[in-house]
Amino acid sequence: MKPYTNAKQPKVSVIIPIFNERKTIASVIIEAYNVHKHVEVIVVSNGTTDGSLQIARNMGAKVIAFDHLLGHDVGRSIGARAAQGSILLFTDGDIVIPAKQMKPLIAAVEQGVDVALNGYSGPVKCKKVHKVVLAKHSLNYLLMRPDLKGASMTAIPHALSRNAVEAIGFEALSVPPKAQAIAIQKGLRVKALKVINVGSKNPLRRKTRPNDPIGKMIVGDHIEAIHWVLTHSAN
Amino acid sequence: MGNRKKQNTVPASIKWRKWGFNQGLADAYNDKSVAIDKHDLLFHVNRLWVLRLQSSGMPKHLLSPYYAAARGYIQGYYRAGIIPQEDFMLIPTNKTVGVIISMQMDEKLAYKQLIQLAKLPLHQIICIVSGSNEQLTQVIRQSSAIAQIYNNEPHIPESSRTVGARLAKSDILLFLDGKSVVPAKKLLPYLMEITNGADIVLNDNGLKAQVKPFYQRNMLEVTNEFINYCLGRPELGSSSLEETPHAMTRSACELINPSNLVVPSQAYMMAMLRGLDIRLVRTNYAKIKVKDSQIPPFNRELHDQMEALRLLIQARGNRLQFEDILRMREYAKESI
Repeated sequence: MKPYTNAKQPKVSVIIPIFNERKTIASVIIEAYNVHKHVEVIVVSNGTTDGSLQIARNMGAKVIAFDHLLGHDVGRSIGARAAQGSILLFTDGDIVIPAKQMKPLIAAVEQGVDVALNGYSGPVKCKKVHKVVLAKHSLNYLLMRPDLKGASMTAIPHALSRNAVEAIGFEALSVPPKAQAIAIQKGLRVKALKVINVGSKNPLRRKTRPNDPIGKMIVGDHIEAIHWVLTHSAN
Repeated sequence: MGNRKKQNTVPASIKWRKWGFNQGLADAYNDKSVAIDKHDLLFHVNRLWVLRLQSSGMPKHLLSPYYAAARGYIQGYYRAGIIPQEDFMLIPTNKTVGVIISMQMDEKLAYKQLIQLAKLPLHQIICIVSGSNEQLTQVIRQSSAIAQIYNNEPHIPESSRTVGARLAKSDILLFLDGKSVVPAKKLLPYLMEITNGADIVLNDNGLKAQVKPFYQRNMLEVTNEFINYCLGRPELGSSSLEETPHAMTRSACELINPSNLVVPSQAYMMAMLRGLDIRLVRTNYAKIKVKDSQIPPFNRELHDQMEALRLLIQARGNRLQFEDILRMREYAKESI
């Protein structure tokens, strides 16, 4: 018998993109089921081959599987489209964040926030920051949201209201900075909450290679976000 | 061995000062027979100096030998009794240099700045005064023989750059904002860098932000840094055309078009996209003091930066050089 089942009429949908996360997936799913009473867990697999898919199925999660890599954050669009809840919580399969830390994000959305972000800004006490940290801060500043500092939809966990998902559109969720820019531009309530430190386990920093293709891609996402704003602003 | 040690103990600056002194003295004795118009004296001496400089073999990118040799030259020339004062600053070029200053209300600052500028062989000094301020105008007239005064209203500080650049006829333009007094000596490195081939020379305030931890930087420091990173010029730090002093050649100014100087971040972006040689000034000041940066609203500046990014994106694509080759975006589309 499966330890968990997805609620028939879920209030919260937890979306977990995975790629070969056998070591962490079970714990991630357990925490996901504990964020709310009425919850569904949606696992989107990106060419997983290590059996983590089976673990997710056995635990009761809804699994959407692709036999090849989709690339960064495309799983978010796919998972969001399948979600039924009025609150969507996005996290990752490779990092276990206790349910207790994710609950405030859901509570914020229940209280009217549209985009509840992890307040984590990345390592900023140094003089030379990573280019992604620079890009995240710059985007928020350029959109006149200094209060958000480096908080970003690129980082997990974050929660969206159904209203936000509809305003942003499923497709843009694959390019998180663009989704964030759309949310801010459309006047949604975007708020950075308490810091959930994902730095030490941040896949970006763990998987950094010499020419850092993922870092550059994320900077490009921010430019794409700025481009969206420039082409969609009244002025 | 002993000989070598002895050589090392003589600082290069003393060597260059001596060299300059001898050249200055020699030139002055050559000049004794020639009647020189007093007004033209400084320019005359500077022309002789540039000739000496060009054949000196002095390293072109170092400041301290230049300062030492120029100082020595003036002292040598002065020794011969032709020039009445010792504190002239020789510039490393025969090109004409014009200064454009946006004058604030403060007469004391204006006076002090003009006294500094009088030490340099300048072709033009263009003072842009906000509104009509009789007292300030008077002070400017009394402090400088060559200052030209123009009124500009309504006053946006940067609009005086456009007004000044349109009026300027010099080969090299130096921009000052009149908010603080810049010593004449501090302007020399800008002229040196232009002489070495730069089109635009920015001050190094943009590096001051880099001395602070990231979280202490203000919004503009961060967004400027981001723009420079996107331009592939991370070594420029938070530099931009916002800050003065900065210098540009006349041709660079015309290429950007003086009318664009009123929006510094756009002028900066245009200069970059035109492929102009933009450098930071080299200063001797190893230790940079960091002031706490104020946090004004910056709304106008941030808006201007978005417009500058629009130019960049139009020129280089909506992701610039940061392509997305990893995502299979068709799977994110509604139809699937």
